[in-house]
Amino acid sequence: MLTKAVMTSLCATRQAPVNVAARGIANIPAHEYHIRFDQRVGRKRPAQDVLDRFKRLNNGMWIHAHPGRHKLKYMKDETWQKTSLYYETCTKEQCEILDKLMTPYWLRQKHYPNDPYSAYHVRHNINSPRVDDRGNFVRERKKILMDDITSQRFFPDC
Amino acid sequence: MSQALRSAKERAFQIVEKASRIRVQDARDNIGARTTGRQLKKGHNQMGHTQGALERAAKPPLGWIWGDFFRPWQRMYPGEKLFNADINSRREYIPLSLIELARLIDLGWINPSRPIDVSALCATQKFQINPKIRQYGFDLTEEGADSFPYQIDIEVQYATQSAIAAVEKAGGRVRTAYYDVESLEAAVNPKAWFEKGKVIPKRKAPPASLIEYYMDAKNRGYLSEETEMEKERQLSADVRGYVLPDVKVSSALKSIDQVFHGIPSGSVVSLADKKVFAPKNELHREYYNRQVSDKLYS
Amino acid sequence: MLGSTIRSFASRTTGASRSFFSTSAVRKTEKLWENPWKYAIPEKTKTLATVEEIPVDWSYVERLMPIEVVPEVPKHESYPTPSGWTPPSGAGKTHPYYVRRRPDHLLPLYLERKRDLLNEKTLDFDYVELVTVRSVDGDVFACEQDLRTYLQEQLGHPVATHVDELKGRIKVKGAPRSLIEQFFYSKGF
Repeated sequence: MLTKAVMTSLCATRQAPVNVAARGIANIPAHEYHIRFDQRVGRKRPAQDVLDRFKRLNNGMWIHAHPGRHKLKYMKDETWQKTSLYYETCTKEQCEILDKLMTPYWLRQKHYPNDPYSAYHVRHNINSPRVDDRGNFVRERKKILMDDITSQRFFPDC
Repeated sequence: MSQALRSAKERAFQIVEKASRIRVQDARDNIGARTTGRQLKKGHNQMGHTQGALERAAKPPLGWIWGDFFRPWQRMYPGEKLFNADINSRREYIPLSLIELARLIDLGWINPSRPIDVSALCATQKFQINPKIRQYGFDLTEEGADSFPYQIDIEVQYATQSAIAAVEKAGGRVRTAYYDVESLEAAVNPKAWFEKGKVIPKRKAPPASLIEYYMDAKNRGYLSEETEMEKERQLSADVRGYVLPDVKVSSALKSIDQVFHGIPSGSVVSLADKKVFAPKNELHREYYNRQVSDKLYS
Repeated sequence: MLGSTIRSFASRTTGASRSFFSTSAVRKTEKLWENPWKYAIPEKTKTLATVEEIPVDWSYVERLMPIEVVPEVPKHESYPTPSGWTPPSGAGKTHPYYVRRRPDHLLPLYLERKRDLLNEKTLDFDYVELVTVRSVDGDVFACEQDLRTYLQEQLGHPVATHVDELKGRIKVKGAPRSLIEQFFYSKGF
């Protein structure tokens, strides 16, 4: 005797539609949700995709996780297990584009006590100019009433 | 002469030589001389999109490299909650190093004989604290801790252990105190607060995540016991190997719900009249005279 | 006003019949339905805020006001001060030029970024960092000469300088700002 479930499945005449994906935020093209002007305030909004996947350090560098770090771990070797959890830095062009997708709040230098990324907000041996076109420091923190000799003695980011 | 090396002129000459006298058919157009335009398939005889349609259409986002609209390169990386998910619960502090503090004292911006708190530091106009973007005050850091000579009474919102030790070694006093958003707004710009005619707020108790920090004597929290603090001072002196000098700082500490030194909470300061007023209402008085502040999360 | 009209209506309808046997005692106890508005809405009392002056030391309020004018530097026993600051010394007046300090009592050295040539390999512009010395009075060319020799001696490679005599400015390319500060401190400016 056929079970009730099998009977119902055999008798089912109408199939549910298979490939109709609802038009959620993940399925609409990016140019439709990259907001240039917020309805309420009229200002730009930062790209949420970028905020979910990247982190900006105070010196302008962006970091991201490695794709596929949680997948098929059993097939991967010892080195991969270790390096898959590392974060990677972005290229110069990627950093420039990510900065443009952000609003000024996300480009500010933020200081948190007990920050696990505190060591990475400082870059060493970079020879490019320390200031941008407006005269603000690009990779360093603004020092109050300091000349360079004292800054170099005490601050690690000069 | 070979055919390949003949120039265009020579070829033309050959043709003209062999041609007959001019006839009507010679005056007719050559093949392909005139062409009528053909109608292309798209609207307005435009192949592809019109200029106006292109201008008005939604543009692809920055950095979109040709390919799938649904998979731009910035979406090809995995999400990481540790990066930015907690931005609305993170507390940002403005870093204040001991060397910068020493420089401010040297150049006369800050008077070391008076107690130094958020208001005194913001009065120099060298720091910008905005409570609206979750900035909660100053963090005393230890750059310049090796030779900090001044005896000061400082109240910050966060301090590293090295910074605390450096200030105490010089004979000063450090306290970490919590300012909730409204009190911080008053403390950071007292002039604007008084000009609006607002009542000086009572400092509320820290939220649950911070109350442990401010009750710990190790951090010289304002809610911890005096005896515990003495023990911790001695301990840090022993551990770091310096002699603990006597604290000659004599000014009184602020009470736990006071925002400004010398001005009680619940009063209104009138800058024009140079007077301070307090309402006579019983309820108001009772609320502001109670020593225990509200346990409101902020 | 509505209450009083309702009351008057009530008194006209029921009070008329009651007036035969009514005594003042009966009329005094007003029932809930006779003036429903009075009992439905709670009585609103207004209290005007009365204030009194508190004696407060006004110096406590004065010190909260933002500092508008750059304060005078207090006298220190010895220089450099604990944070490493030195005031301009008398030796600065012996030279044919003088570099005035900023109102902040710091040296007038500024950093700026200027676009350099296009890098053919990366097809990106190279940027170069310049240091500007601004408030130079007197013989600016002599100052530039001394500065250049000092820097070249210290660094070992040539540095480029540009003088604007009218504005009293010297622009230096190829030297870090800390070294230029060292030079001016050594001269007593």
